[in-house]
This record gives sequence, C-alpha cells and structure tokens, in this order.
Amino acid sequence: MSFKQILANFAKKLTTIAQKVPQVYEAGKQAAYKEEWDERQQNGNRTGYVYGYAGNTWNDKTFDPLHSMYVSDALGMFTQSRIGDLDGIIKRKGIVMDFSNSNRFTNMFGYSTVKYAGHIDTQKASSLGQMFESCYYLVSVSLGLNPAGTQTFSNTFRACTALEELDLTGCIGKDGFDVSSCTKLNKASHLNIFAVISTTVSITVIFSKVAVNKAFETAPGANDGSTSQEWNDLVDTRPNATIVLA
Amino acid sequence: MARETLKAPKGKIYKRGNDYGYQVHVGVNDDPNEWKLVDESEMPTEETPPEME
Repeated sequence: MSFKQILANFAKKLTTIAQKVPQVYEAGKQAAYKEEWDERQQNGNRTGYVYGYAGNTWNDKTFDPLHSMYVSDALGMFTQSRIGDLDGIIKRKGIVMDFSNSNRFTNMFGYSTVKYAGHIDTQKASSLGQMFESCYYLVSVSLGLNPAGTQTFSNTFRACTALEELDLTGCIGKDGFDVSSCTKLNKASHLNIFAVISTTVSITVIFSKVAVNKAFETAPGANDGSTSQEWNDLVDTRPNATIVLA
Repeated sequence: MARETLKAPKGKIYKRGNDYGYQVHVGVNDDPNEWKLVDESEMPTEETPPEME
C-alpha cells in the first residue's frame, strides 16, 4: 500500500469517527441522565419525597423525572421550586405521580412558582396546611379530599391570587377553608366548592368578594354577584355553614 | 331558624377572631353577635408577589 493510500484510509477512518461523535455524545448524555435519575429516584422505588424537589434549582428544565412516583410523604416536596407546568411535565414524560398513599402535604408547594399542579389525591392526610401558601402563579389544581371531611386547611390557599380553577372531590367538614385570596376564582370552582361543603357540620368557609362579584354577576361588567339571586340560592344550599365574603 | 346575612357599611368590615368579611351569611347554628364591626384597615393585607428568578 502506498503512503498516499495509507493517508486516504486514515482520513476515511477519522471521518467515520467524526460522524459518530454526535451519536456517541447523545448516548453518553442518555446514560448520564439515566444514572442521575435512577439514583435520585432509587430506580423508581423511592416513595419518600420530603423536600424532594424543593428550592430554586428545580424548574421546568431541570425537573425531568425518569420514573413514576408513588409518593408516601409529600411534605415540602416542591416548596420554593421554580417549576411551573408540573402537570404538563408529568404528562409529557408519560409517567405517573400518585399521591393516594401520601399522609403529608404540609407546605408541599409553598412559595413555589407552580402554575398547573394537576390532580393530587390527598385523602390519606389529616392536614393540607400551607400546601399552596404564597403560590402566586398557581392557575389550576384538582384535589381529592377525604370524603369524611376530617381534613384541616390552615393557609392552604393563602395568597393564591392567580388561582382560577379549583376542582375538588370529597368533603370540606372543618373550619379553615379559605379562598379569600383567590380573586380570580371562576364560577365553576365556586359551584364545585359548595358541592363538597358538608351539609351537616357548622363550619365557616371564606370566599373572595371580588371573585364572587365577578363570577356570579348578573350582566357582563356588573360585578354584582354577591347580591345576586344565584349566589344567595347557592348559599342557601348550605344553611349549616357560615359563608363569608372577604 | 332563618339564616341572617350581615353586610358591612362602607369603610367597615366584620371580624370574628381571625376571620374577616364584608358580607357574612351566618350559619343557622351560629351566633351573628359573634361578628363585630371594625374599621376596614384592620383587615390583614396581602404581601406582593416576588419577582420570578
């Protein structure tokens, strides 16, 4: 083989290596991602997520879970994080985030930037204290409450000023359910909340007067919902409850 | 017993413990006298949202 042929062969091999570099790089990246999240999520077996994704290093890019999560403890799980579309991320990843066995949700999202929180089954927990406290960007969330109505709600939705959609199942049977900060809460959410207020227990439930005035207004722009017949009829469905507009 | 509805006049708000309201639909088993009229300024104000990082 001439020197010229040797050089040509060498150049061909270098070209082949260079062409494969992106594939090698991508394979390496995937391997590193899997190793990182296998460890973080204990190969999918992790159930305790106390402060699991807390803090401002977690955002819609860095929160990229590999495995489904069957959470037994969600205390502070996303507190102070910068994740916005939690529901969208989980759906895009094609994984499950199941909270049906979680017995703690205190401060789960407190002071975070969560916008779409998805559905969270809270039935096993006795307290939802501070669960969404100061979640100023929260727009929608769906909660499965305990049907027995035994849960407490201390500052659960305090300062959730962007909340529009609140979907509830189960029962509100204790004092402290307060959505007075939620000035953008839509009509369907108000109807939904009333549907789960206990029909027997003497409790106090607090709404935003601004939200009620808008949601139940008798004509576009009237902002008179709090004095509307529709609102008063709704209130009358729960004579046992003290309904406050703050 | 019929439910009583309390409506605070302008500049005032009803207070009971840590609960505040401009309008209170009192439950049939609750006592409307527990709610006291106070100045609207007594109502806690909301903190402003922080800048997103």
